[in-house]
Order: sequence, then structure tokens, then C-alpha cells
Amino acid sequence: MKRKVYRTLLLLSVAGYGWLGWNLLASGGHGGLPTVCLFKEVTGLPCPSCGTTRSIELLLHGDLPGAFVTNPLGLLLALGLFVIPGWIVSDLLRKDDSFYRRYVRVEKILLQNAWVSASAAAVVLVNWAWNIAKGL
Amino acid sequence: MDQQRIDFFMIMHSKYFESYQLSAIRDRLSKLDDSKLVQVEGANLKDPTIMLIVSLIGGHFGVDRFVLGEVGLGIAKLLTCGGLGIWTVVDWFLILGRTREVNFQRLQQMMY
Repeated sequence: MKRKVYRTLLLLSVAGYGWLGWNLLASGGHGGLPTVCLFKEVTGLPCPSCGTTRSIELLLHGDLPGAFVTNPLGLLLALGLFVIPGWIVSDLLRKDDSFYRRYVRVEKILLQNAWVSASAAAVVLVNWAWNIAKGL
Repeated sequence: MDQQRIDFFMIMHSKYFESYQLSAIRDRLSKLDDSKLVQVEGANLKDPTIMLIVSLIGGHFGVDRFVLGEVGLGIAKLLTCGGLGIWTVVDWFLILGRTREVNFQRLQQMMY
């Protein structure tokens, strides 16, 4: 299970950096590449994580308020992209499992504590409604 | 556990597991104490077919992973637009096997 989590998250990080780099090279701004969001293609509405690429691009250009307004989840994802790959690689090098232990603990809290998971879901839903209102 | 009850359980749940796991489950159940029977019968097992439907409809938001109890991967899927849409499609094919695997793990936790 630990190997699976590490593999998946590392793969996602590499894909994330690749996607971000491709966007930056292709557009020099944002909105250069067509959307890969299946939900948006099918329904025409943005999904909860639509706009995260644009948000991270704005953040890289130093526009923190703009990044927050585009999609606050972009900031969370940027933090994840910054922290998670390094943590996993250092774990692998030191043959440790500190990231996995933390991961399991957070998973347990979310599974067992209804209030925490319900408020997290509410935040995502409210943010999604905001996404739709903004027409990302 | 008496044979009839085991047979009934196996008939009702055979599609919840991989076929090669079935004989091991039956063996283990026949050696199991009656007091654990209620636990095993009330186990929170997921129907692979329903999970496939969940994955087709809500997989893009990671709902399939959340329902399986893999919250971390669910969040990762949700925040990355279904892994740029690729993970969503990959999971349509993987979710049947993954559901059976998770079911087997849950049952094992109760039986041992």
C-alpha cells in the first residue's frame, strides 16, 4: 500500500510539473492549451479543480491575490507539489516512511471524524459554486 | 459456522471477490468462530458493479476512491482534475479489481 501511494503521488507530481511546464512554454500566459477536464468538456461547467493551473501560473508570476481569486485550491495544490515530491524522495532515500505515516493519520481523521470531512467537503462545494459563478 | 450459512454467504458475495480468493474464504469461514459470524455478515463490502457506475459518473471527482475508503487518493484525484483526466479513465478499468481487493482486505481483517 505504501509503495502504491508513493508511486501514485510521485507520478501525479511529475505529471503536474510536466503539465505546468508545458502550459508555461505554450502560452507565456494562461489559457494557451485546450482543457483536459472531462467534466467541462461534457457539461460546459467548470469542475471543482478547474482553474488550478491558471492559479499556479499566476502564483509563479507573483500575483498571490490573483491566484487566490482564480481558484484557492491552486494554492493548496502548489503547496502539495512543492512539499510532497521532496518528502517522498527523502523518505525513499532514507528508507523511512514518515510521509506514509502522516498520510495514514490524515486519512484516518477524515474517515472517522465526520465534522472534519463534512467541512472539507463543504469548502470544496462552496468553492465549486464560486468556480461556476466565475465561469472559469 | 454451519455449512448452510457459509454456502449462503458465498452465493451472495461471490462476485464481491476475485475467483481465486473464493476457496480460501470458504476454508477460512468454515474454521471461524460463530461469534464472528455477525461481524463477517455485516461487513461493509462494496459491490464492484456499483463501484464501476460510481467511477463512470463521479470518478472525475475521486468519488470512487472516497467510497472505497481511500480518502488520500480521492483528494489527489479531486484536486488534479481527475489526474488531468487520465487517471479518471484508467480507474474505469481498474476499479472492479480494486474493489474486490479492498473487499478481501476488509474480510481478512475480520477473519484473522
